[in-house]
Amino acid sequence: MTEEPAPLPRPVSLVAIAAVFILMSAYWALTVRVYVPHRAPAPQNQTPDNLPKDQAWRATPATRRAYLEDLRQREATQSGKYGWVDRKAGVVQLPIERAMELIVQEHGGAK
Amino acid sequence: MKAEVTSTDSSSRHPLLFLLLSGLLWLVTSGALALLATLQLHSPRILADCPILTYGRVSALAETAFVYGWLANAGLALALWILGRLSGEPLRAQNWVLTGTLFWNLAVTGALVGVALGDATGFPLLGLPGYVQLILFLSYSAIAVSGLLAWSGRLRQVAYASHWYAAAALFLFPWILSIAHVMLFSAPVRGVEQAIVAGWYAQCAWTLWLAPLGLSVAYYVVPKVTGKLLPSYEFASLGFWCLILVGGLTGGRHLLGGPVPAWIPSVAVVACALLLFHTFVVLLNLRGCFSGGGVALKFISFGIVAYVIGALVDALTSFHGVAVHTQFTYFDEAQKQLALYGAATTMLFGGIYYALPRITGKAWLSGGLVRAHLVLSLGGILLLVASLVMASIIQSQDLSDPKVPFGDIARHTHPWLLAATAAQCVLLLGSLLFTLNFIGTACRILNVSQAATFNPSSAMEAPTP
Repeated sequence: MTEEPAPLPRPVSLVAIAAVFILMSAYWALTVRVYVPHRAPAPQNQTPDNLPKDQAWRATPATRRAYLEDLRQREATQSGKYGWVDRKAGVVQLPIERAMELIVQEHGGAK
Repeated sequence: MKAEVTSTDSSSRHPLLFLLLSGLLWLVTSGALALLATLQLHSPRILADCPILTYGRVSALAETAFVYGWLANAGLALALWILGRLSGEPLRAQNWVLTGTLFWNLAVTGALVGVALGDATGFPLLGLPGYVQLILFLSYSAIAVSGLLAWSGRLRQVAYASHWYAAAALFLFPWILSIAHVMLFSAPVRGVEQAIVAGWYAQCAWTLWLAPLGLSVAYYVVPKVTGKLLPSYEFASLGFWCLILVGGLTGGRHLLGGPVPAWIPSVAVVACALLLFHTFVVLLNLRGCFSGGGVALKFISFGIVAYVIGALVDALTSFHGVAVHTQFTYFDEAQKQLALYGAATTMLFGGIYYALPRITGKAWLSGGLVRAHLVLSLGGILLLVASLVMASIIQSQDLSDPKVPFGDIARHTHPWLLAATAAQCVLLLGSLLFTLNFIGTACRILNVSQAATFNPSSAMEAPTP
C-alpha cells in the first residue's frame, strides 16, 4: 500500500499576500504615527517655563549652543591676547604662555 | 480511520515538520543553556572567566531560545495545522511558511549571537537585540500568511474556540512586538516608562500570544481525543474575549511597589482578578481532559492544571501584601517556569503527540521514548517549580531579616538550587528523548514505499503509559 498523492493547495494571489503584510505593517505604522509625534521630549530638550533673564540661555538647545560658543570665544580671547581687566586696579590679562613664563621666572625656575 | 488524516495533514507536512523540528532543536538548546544558568546560580565560578557564558547572558540566551525558538516555532506549527484542518482544505502559501520559518530561525540565531556578545536588552521576555526584531516581525508575517488565509477562506463559516485562539495569536503578536519595538528601541520612552512598556510586553507575550497558542491546541485536541462535545461551550467565547480584553492590562503587576503611578498596579490587580473568569471558563470547557487516556491528554491536562494554578498565583501575587514576600525572589522564576514550561509547553507537547502521526501518516517510533518523555517532563517541571518556590520562601524570610548576611541567604537556598539543577537535567534529558523520537518518526516518511502504519486506531495515539 502506498500513500495517495496529496491534493494540491489552492494558489494564492500576490494581492492576498500583500494584504496580510500590509495588515501586519499597519500595526507598526499606526504605532509610529500615533506615538512618535506625541512623544514627550527628553528632559534636556524641554523648554523650561519662567526662566529668569540671566538664565534665558538655558531655554532651548539652540540658545544653549550659542551661549557655549560665545563662552568659548570669550575664553579664547582672554587666554590669547593682552588687555586690561581693571585699569584702575592695574589688573591685566595676558596670553597663557606669557603668564606661565612669568610665573616660572617669579619662582626662580629659569636658569 | 482514514478520515482522521485529512488533506491538510498530508499536503502541508513539509512546512509543519520544518517548524516543529526547528522548535525541538531550540528546546534542546534552551534546555542546555537553562541547565548551565541554574548551575551558575549555586556555583558562580563555572565559566565565570568566559564573558559570553556568564550568568546574565546565559539566562537571557536560555529564555530567548525557549520563547522565540521553541514556543514560537511549535506554537505556530500547531496553530497553522489547526487552522488548516478547520478550514477544510490544504494549507495555502506554504512557500511563504517555509521562507518565514527559515528567516525566523536565522533571526533567533542572530539574536542569540547578539545576546552572547553583550547586546541583550535586559527586558523580560524581550531580551533579543532590537536589530533582529524587524526580521522577526517580517518572518512572522510571512508564516502568518498561510494561517490567516486558512482562517479567512475556511469552507465552513462557523468558527470554533481553537480557531479564535489560534487566529488571535497570529494577529496579536505582530501588534505587541511592533509597539514594544517602537517604544523601547526605535524611539524609546524614558526612565520609568520603559519599565511600564517592558512589563506590558512581557505580560502580553504570555496572555495574548503564548497562552492562546497553547489553548488553541487544548481546545482542538481535547474534544477530538475524548470524542465528546466540550461542556459549557457557550461560555467559551466569553472566556476568549475576557482574555483578549483584560490580558494586556495585567502587566502592571510586575511593577508593584515601583516608582510608577499607583493606578497602574491597581489596574493590574483588578485585571488579574477579572482574568480568573477566563481561567474558570477554560477549566469548565476542558475538564473532560482529566477523564481521558493517551499521552496527548495527559500532557494537556497537566498544562490546564498549571495554567489554572498559574492564573491563581498571578492574581494572588498581584496584591501588595503578598508581593512583599515574593518580589525579587526565586518566586518570579517559579511563576515563569510554571507558565512557560508547565502550561504552554505541555499543551504544545500534547498537541505534537496528537498531530505528528496525522502529519506524517506514521505512528510514533518508540512507545518507550514517549513514556520516558512524559515521566521526565512532568516530573522535571514539578521538581523545578517546587524547588524554586522553596528557595523563594527561604530567600524571602532571609531578605526580611536585616541581620542575615547576603552570603548566608545564598547558602540557605543552595540545596533547593541543586534540586532545580537536577530538574533542569531531567527536563533536558526528556527533551532529548522527545527530539530523537520526533526525528525518528518524521524520518519514516522518507521511505514513501513503506505501507502506511496508522490504519489501526490505536496507532494514531501515542501509547498510553
